[in-house]
Amino acid sequence: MKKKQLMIMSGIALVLGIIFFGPTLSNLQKVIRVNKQQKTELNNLEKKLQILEGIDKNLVTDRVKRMEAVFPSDKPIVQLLSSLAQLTAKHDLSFGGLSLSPGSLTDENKEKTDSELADLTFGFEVGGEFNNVLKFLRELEKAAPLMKIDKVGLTIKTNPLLGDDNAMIAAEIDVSAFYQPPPKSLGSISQPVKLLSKTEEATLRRLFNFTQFQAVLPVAQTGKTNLFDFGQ
Amino acid sequence: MEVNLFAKKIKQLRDRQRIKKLAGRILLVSMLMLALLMIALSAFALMIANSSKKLEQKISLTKNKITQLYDVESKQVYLVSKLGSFANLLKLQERHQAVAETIFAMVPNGTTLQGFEVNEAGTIDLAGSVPGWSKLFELLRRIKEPATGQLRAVQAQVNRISFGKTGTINFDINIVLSGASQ
Repeated sequence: MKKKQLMIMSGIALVLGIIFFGPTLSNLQKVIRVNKQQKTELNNLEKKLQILEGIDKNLVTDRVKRMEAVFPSDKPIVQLLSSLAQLTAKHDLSFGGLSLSPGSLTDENKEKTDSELADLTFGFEVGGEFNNVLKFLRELEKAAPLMKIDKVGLTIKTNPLLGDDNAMIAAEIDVSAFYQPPPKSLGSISQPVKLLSKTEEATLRRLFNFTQFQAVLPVAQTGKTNLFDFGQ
Repeated sequence: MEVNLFAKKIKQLRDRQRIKKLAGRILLVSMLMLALLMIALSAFALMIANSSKKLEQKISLTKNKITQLYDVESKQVYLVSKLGSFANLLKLQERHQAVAETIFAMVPNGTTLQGFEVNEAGTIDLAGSVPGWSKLFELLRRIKEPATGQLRAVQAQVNRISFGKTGTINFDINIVLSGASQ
């Protein structure tokens, strides 16, 4: 009898416990989980904020400008022509025979080009003294925008490496220039910002070793002009 | 002499009453405990909810500060996105420059070089013409024994040697330089 009553009492207590505490405990568990997530999110955001506050605004702006000049986001046709013309002039070389395939100026292959490395190949001819051509070839890959010599065809009368410095040669050069579109979005706000490693910092410093030539664009009068303005 | 006829029954009744009392007390204490536990849990839940509210405010504040630094973040993301490709291109360029310098140093006087090209496997296809045998031998010697500071030829294969109309000797040589592969 005693046992039976105790069993009934325990049963009642258990049922009461489940009825009253079940939802409360479940709710509490949910609140604790949310709280934990919030703590993690806040921690990540604070880390990100700390990193962003630690970045030198001026330095990052300089680097972006330099990166855009050396490794642009769009096809660098104007910069290329300007750099080549000015570099050949610097070394007293004749410049011509340019064959360029700029392709489409609109983004017809949008999915393909998004944030992917792309290149623009072109060929040209330079003529002049061997030493100057050699200097030109050396400087070409150090000029902005970034270029890689794919193929060189030289006609050498005498080799100036062995003495004769006044040999006139013609060089046919095939070059690739590179560009890469920037990322389209920053991602979510809680996404961490990557800090640069020492090696990456060193790579970025090399951006400043590239010679940058100012793009010279023709100045043409555009827009409406007042035909009846006689300069009164 | 006193005779208790209901001693057994009275004992049973007393026991039952004692049990009932005990059960009642246990129930009361349990209810009290449960109520206290309920209050404690609710208080704890409230505390956490309050903490969540404060955290939410802090998160919102931090997000605002991050949004104000949007310009810096976008520039940093831009740099990071381009850095990998840029570093690879620089390495490739360095190798190309070393190859170009080695080839220029190999070419003897009077050579006409039609071109040299480095393919995907790192093989350099060197084609051109020399005015005579002596120049060809000099070219081959330089390929075999490059000048100090230049890349060494790991492998070289003469594909073609032919005579031109003007007595020149045309050549086509494949060279594999150490570290020239892409």
